[in-house]
Amino acid sequence: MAISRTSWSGICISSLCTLLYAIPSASVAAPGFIAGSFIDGDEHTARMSVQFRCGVEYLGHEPSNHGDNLRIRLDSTRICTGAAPSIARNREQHRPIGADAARLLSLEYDGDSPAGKILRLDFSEDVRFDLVQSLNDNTITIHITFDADAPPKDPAESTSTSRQVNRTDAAEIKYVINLESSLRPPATADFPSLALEDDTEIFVSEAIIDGQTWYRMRVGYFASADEAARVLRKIRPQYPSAWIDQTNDEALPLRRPESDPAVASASAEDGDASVAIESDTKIAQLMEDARRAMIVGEISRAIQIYTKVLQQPPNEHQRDAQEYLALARERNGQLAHAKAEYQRYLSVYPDSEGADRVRQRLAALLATAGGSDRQVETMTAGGSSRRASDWNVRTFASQFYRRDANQLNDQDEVISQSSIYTDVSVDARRRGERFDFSARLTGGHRYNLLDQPERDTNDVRLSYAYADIADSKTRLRGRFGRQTRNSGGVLGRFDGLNLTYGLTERVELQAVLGKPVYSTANGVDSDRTFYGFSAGFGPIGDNLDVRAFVLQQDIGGLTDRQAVGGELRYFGENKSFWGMLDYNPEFGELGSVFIQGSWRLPSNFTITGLFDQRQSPYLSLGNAMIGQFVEDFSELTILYTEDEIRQFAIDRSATTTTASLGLSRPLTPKLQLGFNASHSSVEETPESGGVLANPASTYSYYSLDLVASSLFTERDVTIFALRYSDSESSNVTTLNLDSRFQIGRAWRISPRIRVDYRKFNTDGSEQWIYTPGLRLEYRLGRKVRFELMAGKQFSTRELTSNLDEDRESYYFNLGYQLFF
Amino acid sequence: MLPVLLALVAIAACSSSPQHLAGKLDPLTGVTVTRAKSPLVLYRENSARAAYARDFVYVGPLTVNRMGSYNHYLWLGIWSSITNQQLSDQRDGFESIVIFADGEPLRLELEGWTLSSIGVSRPVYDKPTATAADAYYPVTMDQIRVIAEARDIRLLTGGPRAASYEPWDNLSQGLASIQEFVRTVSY
Repeated sequence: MAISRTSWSGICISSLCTLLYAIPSASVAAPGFIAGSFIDGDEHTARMSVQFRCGVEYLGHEPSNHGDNLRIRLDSTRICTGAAPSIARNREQHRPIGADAARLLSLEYDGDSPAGKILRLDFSEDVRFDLVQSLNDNTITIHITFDADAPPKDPAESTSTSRQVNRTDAAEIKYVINLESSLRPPATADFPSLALEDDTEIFVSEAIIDGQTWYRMRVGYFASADEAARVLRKIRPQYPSAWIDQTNDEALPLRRPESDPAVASASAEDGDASVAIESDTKIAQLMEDARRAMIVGEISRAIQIYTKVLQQPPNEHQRDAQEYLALARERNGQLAHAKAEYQRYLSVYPDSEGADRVRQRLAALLATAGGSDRQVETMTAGGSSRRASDWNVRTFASQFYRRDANQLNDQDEVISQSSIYTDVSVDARRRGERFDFSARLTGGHRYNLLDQPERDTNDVRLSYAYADIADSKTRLRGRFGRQTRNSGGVLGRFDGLNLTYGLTERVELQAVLGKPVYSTANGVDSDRTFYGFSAGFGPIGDNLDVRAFVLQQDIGGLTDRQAVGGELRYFGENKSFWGMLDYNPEFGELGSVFIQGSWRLPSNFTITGLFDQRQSPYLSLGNAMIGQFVEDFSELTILYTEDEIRQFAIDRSATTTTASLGLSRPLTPKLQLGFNASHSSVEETPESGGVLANPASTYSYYSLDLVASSLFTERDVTIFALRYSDSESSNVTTLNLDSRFQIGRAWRISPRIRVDYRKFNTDGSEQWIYTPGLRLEYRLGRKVRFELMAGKQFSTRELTSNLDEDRESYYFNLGYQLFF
Repeated sequence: MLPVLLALVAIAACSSSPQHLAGKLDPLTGVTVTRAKSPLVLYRENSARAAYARDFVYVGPLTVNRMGSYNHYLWLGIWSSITNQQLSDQRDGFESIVIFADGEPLRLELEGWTLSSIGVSRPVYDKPTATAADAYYPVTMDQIRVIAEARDIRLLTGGPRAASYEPWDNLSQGLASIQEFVRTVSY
């Protein structure tokens, strides 16, 4: 099968559908001393609010107004919300979502430093901060300016004008708070009860995105982002995913809601729900109040009342309160919470008369929310909304010099490698309210410094080059280009198309079409094409995932490989199991069986097992080319009949089997012991088609490992390993000692030594091998790492003729990694 | 095949939803530990060692509650389908890792290789194989949430031979489990 150019073009064009709206980023880090952070800004300025779990007192900061870091001295008032005052002694490091918008590398709090409680902000460049500008209760707000000389933004250039007329001049930048977005127009009853200031109101705007009309419930207008942020803080408990936007609705009319007394009388009465409740009569009265609140659209108030009822000791109203709380959450647009409340109802009252009704509500919620169930989670859970962002491009690059050399006795040193490896990976993505688009390009180049004119040893590798688009509405996702996949009968890297469709939350269908890639340095394998289908189910019960697949691969008009099989994965409380089976109907052979499991016993012993049997290489008709002097498969079909080719393919595909059994146990929190025994075998392959036979071979090994931490310093780790291996050619006993130390925040050093004693079965000779080595890592900020890895190997083999064979070799890797 | 698929669809559709996770008390240290039920499964082909050898990394979040002081970590279970590799090689590059969540890089620094580094006495996640290496990285709830909300996760190790680990499958089970973890711990 082949994909037409037209099809590819269509996919590429459709993949460019993205959204236009940028959002500020909010993050909630809980539960630590830093309760959350909020960043918004533009190209010149940013504003960052840090909220603490306890009241804080600002003592001072330094440097005074600019630099690449800011240290703010604080003290805790010891009045905390949901945490013990001792939490102020925490040490925490955060990187808030949207940190890049503030040029922020990290946000660190050290509550136990000799200098007192310090909040430290590290920036990626020199920035100007206006001072710590406000300190309200437990929040610190910092205004950051990136380029102090930059002219103020010309309001006329703003795209944020609006037709909303009862506010300020249309050329003036205005701000709104986006409470929620939905695909259906909100009913009047959906409007929340918010205590708003006189000059602000709730309204609905419409936005057409990818042909889809979105309805945005908003509060506005605000003359400044500060003003909007102040209101946002008040309403965030009700709308954890609310965000601030500059008005951008000029092209679209705003629609005001009809007058609603319930909305207008928004409620300061919300606090009534916290009245202490003691008697059943009062609870009944509360239920009635909540019902009325629901009717008049005071959803938030209803939520508070139902929550209070559920916090009371067990009573007859709680079942209804649980159901209505879920309903209120749903009407309030808090779909993830609603889902959780419905699930809680079904968990607590699975056999109640309302259970069927609740199941239906939950099913409807999941169906309408979406394929967008993920989106719902994203928009509401925990208050973090990452939708509708701009393009985000990330690049990783590394360059390493590698050198390998060895020397036998007094002969000249032979340099086997002297190359510079350059690797680059670029990720681009844009998340929209409906479409998520991403693309990836990962490649590398090796520059050979050795003088080897006889062959071209420089090579270019292309590991990934794909575009990916996901539609949260239809649950359809497509990835086109060079990619990898190992499930569904696909054997790794391929060029092609992979489509995924979420039939339900728990059932997923996949289709794949492509050409295998056997080497990233090579082009596409033009001889082979495959297509396949798979279906994934799960989680079934609580912890089980099952997948079934079929796949057909052709070569030169013949069937190259067929695969029918399945995969089963289970992660339990103390047990895990993973099994895969791949059967090849074309050859009537088992392609592979893989089983891995672990079981933790009450005594903290963990027993592990692994069984892996496969044909190596995987049985396919194309294996017949192994050992043949042909350029491609078509040449083989000229030389041999189909039956002969099929037999050669079977002859070249040896069955390999590995079985291992292990036992591990933490002796103390600082000491872990592990034992493993493993046996591998490779069956013989016969001589055929002019290709020589390969004898069978076996290999067994036994290992005992001890991992110990804090032996020399607080955060070091040392690994002692003793191994014994047994094969046809030799028996080897190995002792390995590997220590790793961290020095300060920037340095890591890892010395290691390995000693091998080898006894050759062929001539009875003995060999000692000593391999000392060193790894060194230095971090320069968060974006640059330098690495050195070097080692030397000395070996002496005492041959029976009293002639020693001495070898020396060394390796050397030095380079850096960059993120930007 | 079709009847089997239909049966699985029915079972999957009718099965109960995952229940909330519960914290477990560590009897020696007195801390409460909460973890996700299913880790993410990432892998890479390691054909340099053997044909179809695959290195795996399990990724799972956990929270240690020490008398109201919460610390969040990411656990990595590092193992290989070929179990006879050197333990040094296995751990190399994992001191500093980058997890790309929908391309967003989360740079993580190792806290430690043993239970003592996170202050517990019993394994939080089970080792997939006896030779697997456990690694713990301090993270924030924000970072866990970013992972939970991502569609695509991959992991890049440090070192001269930086290895890129890709999702084994669509990660649905692991991501659902981490989303459940986030909801539970955030409440």
